Amino acid sequence: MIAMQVGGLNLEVSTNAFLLLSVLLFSLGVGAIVARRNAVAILMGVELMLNASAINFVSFGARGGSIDGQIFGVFIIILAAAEAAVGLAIVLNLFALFKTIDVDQPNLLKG
Amino acid sequence: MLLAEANTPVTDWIYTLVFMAVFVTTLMAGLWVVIARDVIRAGVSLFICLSGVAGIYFFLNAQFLAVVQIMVYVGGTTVLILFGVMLTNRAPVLTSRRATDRTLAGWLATVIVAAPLFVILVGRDLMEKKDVKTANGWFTMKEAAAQAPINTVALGDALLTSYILPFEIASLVLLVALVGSAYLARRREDESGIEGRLS
Repeated sequence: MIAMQVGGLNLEVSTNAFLLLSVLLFSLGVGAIVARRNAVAILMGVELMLNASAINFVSFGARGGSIDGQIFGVFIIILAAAEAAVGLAIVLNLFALFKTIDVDQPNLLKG
Repeated sequence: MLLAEANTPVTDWIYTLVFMAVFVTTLMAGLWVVIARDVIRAGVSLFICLSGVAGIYFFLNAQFLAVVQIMVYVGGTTVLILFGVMLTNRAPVLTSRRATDRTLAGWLATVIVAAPLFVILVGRDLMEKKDVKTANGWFTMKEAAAQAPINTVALGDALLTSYILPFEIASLVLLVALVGSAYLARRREDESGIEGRLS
């Protein structure tokens, strides 16, 4: 149970609710990566998966009463920002070269 | 302190309602990221979904992380992604050429990933019910002695003592990644496409 103090009130929601949200967001991210062809939409799927894992870390950290989960959350947010920047640079290069960002269009290495 | 005994059913009810609203909003926005045909709409719903995740962090007692999520993710990453969408789509066609014609494969992958995780989650719940008698439901409200630490102080302490090396490495990674992506995405002289580049 995750407890929370609001103005002296003790309120809590079960950890399982957060884990359920994490599971669903993670699998939606996988679905976005598989179903989409647009490279930016695939990046959005990756962002969903990163957020789901961050929720997982933070909820288990809050359950154990430890700060470590939130540390992991901070690092996930930092690395997601770096990943988004590099990914978008690659996507812009892809667009400059091929005039499309459908990921099945660039097939130069295909024999 | 005066409100310490005022944990009435009404406040519990409001708390549950707000939590459920944030939960459902986050989930629906995440679903719309996957199924929206228009990539711009997917980006905007990603914006809503990440804001909902920030709300979830508030419920998890991680206030600092929630504010960081709003500032970095919602304010930075989502705007970056929307820039990417708008720079790489030629108007007026804002959709991908074939947006979601692998829908079946996508749903299959979603279910294949979700099912084992869900089984693990439910199994863990059952095991917990056996030995901890407080776990009596997923959305129950119970009175408990909440010992919430002063969040930001503890986080700053941990970041600058135990986690100082990962913290510095992360800042270096961020610097290198941002400089590198600015270098990669710079405008070149010849914009002749891959045919001109290969000849």
